[in-house]
Amino acid sequence: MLFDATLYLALLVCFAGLLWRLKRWLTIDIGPEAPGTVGQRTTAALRGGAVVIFSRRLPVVLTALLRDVLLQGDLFKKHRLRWLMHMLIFWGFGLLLVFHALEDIVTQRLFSDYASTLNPFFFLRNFFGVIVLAGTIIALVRRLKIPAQKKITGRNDLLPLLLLMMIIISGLLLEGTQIVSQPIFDEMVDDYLYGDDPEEVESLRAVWARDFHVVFDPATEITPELLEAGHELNEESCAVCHSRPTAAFASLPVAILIKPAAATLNRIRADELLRHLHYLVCFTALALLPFTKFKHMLTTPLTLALRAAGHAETSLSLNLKTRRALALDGCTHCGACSQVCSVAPSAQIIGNREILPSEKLISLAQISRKDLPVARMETFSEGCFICTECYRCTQVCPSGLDLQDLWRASKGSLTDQGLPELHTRAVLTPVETLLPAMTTASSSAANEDTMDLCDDPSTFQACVQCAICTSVCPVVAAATEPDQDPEIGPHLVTNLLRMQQMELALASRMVWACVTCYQCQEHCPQHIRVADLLYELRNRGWSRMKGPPPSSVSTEEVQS
Amino acid sequence: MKLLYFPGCKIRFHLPAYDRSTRSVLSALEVELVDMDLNCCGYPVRHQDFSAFLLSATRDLALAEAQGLDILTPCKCCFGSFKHALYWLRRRPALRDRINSHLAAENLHWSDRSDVIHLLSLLYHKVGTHRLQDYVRTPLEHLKVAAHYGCHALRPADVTGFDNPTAPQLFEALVAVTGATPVFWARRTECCGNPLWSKNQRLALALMEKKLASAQEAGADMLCSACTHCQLQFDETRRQHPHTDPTQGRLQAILFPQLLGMSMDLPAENLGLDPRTLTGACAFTVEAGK
Repeated sequence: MLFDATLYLALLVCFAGLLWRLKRWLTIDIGPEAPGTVGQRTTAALRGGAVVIFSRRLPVVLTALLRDVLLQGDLFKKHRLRWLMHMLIFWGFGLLLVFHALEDIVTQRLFSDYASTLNPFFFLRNFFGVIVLAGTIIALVRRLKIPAQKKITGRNDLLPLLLLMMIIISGLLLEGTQIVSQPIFDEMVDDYLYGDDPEEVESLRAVWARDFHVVFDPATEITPELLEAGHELNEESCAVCHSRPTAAFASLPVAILIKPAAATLNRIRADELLRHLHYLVCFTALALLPFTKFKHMLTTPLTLALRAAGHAETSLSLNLKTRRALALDGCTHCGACSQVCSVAPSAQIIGNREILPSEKLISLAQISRKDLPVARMETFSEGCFICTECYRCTQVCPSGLDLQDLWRASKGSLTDQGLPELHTRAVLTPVETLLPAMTTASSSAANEDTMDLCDDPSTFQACVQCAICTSVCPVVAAATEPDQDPEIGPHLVTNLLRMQQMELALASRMVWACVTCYQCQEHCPQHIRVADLLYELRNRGWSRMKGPPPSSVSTEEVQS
Repeated sequence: MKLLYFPGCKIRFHLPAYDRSTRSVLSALEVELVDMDLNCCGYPVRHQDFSAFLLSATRDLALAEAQGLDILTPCKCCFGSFKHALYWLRRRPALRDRINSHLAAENLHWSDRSDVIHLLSLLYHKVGTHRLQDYVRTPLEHLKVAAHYGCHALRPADVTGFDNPTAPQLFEALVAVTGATPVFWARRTECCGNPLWSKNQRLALALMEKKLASAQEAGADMLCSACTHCQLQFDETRRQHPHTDPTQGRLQAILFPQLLGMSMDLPAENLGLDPRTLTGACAFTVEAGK
């Protein structure tokens, strides 16, 4: 009753969660293209799916599923240890699920003489459990010991691992307490032993105490005569369902270990408690499937199939949107992308986690769910625009996500929302509006003390205002309406610095329009590092536009 | 000759043809390229944060040092970025120590043992125009080529040391090796506009327009670049904004290793050249080379 109630509750939560996910895939709108209604998106997705199924791509997709999902060939090529870790968990847990959890439906139908306590099932259950445990331990150690992994690991990465470990450990403990359980022995005797001859029971007890590790309270008597009689009886009545637990190489040591306390454990029916715990953890994992990264069991095969299907039909702009929404749920936060990220050193200096792809994806998922505070949108925008679109994250992603498309689409969306990079905003902002921003405290002191060219008068003091820099500047030459751009020209900026007008210099049009061609610096007769100065002023202006640093955001907050 | 290959961020996704043609030509010239996971050179982030730029560039230089190799890059912006990093690292000990302390976490250290070289400098100085001449099978005699220098390799000369910043000749000399005629054009050392592409589109396009007009005026058949960003500007960006193209799609932009590869009779597909998208004299050359 309790079992059924919790199972159905968990299934209900899981199913509702999956529906919620499905709705998200068809509604989340990332990218500058027209969004489309749920109906249009559904139709486009179904059509895309049908086109792939009835095309020559189908064998390719099926091969990819076989290779990259069942054998995880892609991961094998990219990272052997991660492949091993994932294969252990994937196959161990998958086989436990099919043959153990669903034994009534699957195993019993396949094997007519199936009993969970017969070999090879007894052995295999232990074996699969142990390999899952080994896989989760590798995963946990990697998460906590490799610096680059540790940096991005949060509770959402640890919770699923801990749940898996708890499922296996509670299972092994359960089996251990069942092995030593006298109450279970007594129930079985009641149910399966014809007649209740006390001498027969006595002999059977002797055999089960010695060979099957049941702990009786008070201890049973073991004599050669009893054993002989017991063996015969055991063969007749028990052996058809019970192998000796020697093959249960993981739960037997548990049983032996708890033997000293077995009498007490049997009395309080620890096996029943553990059975409930085992079910509870399993059902919790089931209920949480759509809400934790367990969901990748469903989404990753889908994203890998989509990658294999190519872009022909799936890249209709409506399907692109659906693919992007799906990608948010296809990410397992494994961190492979962030380990190869080309701009990781910038993340290290600037201190914005959202420069790293794995973290940017989490923010994107949050943004698509609810509106984030402006400060968070700004760090996301910064992360997006510092990305150089080098494509490495997309190439290493074991889930086959088209991250490149996601980043490009995000840049488009941010620009549409009025959140392009600060440089672009500075270009578009009139000087008088930009000026107040340039007088605020900057976000990082470190950024201002790197070069100090513009604080050091010897850098620009030699300027004689000859304006050669301005006459060779292509930006000045390209000014379409020079009379509206009277303040443009590098020599004006050096003059502002000479007059100690730092804020005016930071807000000046020249600083933000400079194309970094270095004509000014090359031609300066006074050898002033004009272009380097303009670079430094942009750095300084950038950090002032950012303003004081937002209170630092922890991994937990980012992932919640 | 063995060098650490630094393609830069944009090549992999945005301009794979540059990667393919560079590798093909250098492999024919028996220059060995070593591939390695390297991060961004720091060029784009230099607009925002000098330290982030410096750590990015220095990390790559330190990785090159650990391999005992010099860096080769086909991108002029990457080249310039490394050169700027080297310039300031050599002059500011405090800066160098701070960056090294960041690198120490990865057991890396910069101690100025690796240099960086641009593809054109490698061909001109290390391979040499005389030796290069020996590889040319089909001189591209009928072609008039406007060589586009690219700012970040050329200037500031005290940092980059690429060529004479006001009267460079290296690129024209290399174009001449292929048998093509380099044309002199007024704006050959000016900016393509790409550095401001995402930040100030109007200005970026205005600069490109002026350059194209100048090359056309000089009678060039095609524009030759040797920089990822410049090529993206003259190819992808120009195609997306046809109204700003005074040549109306003529004066195709080609990458130098593609030009050189054609004269060396390397197959078009190894140069990332698709004969279907080439026009005019360029298409003729590829057809003739078949």
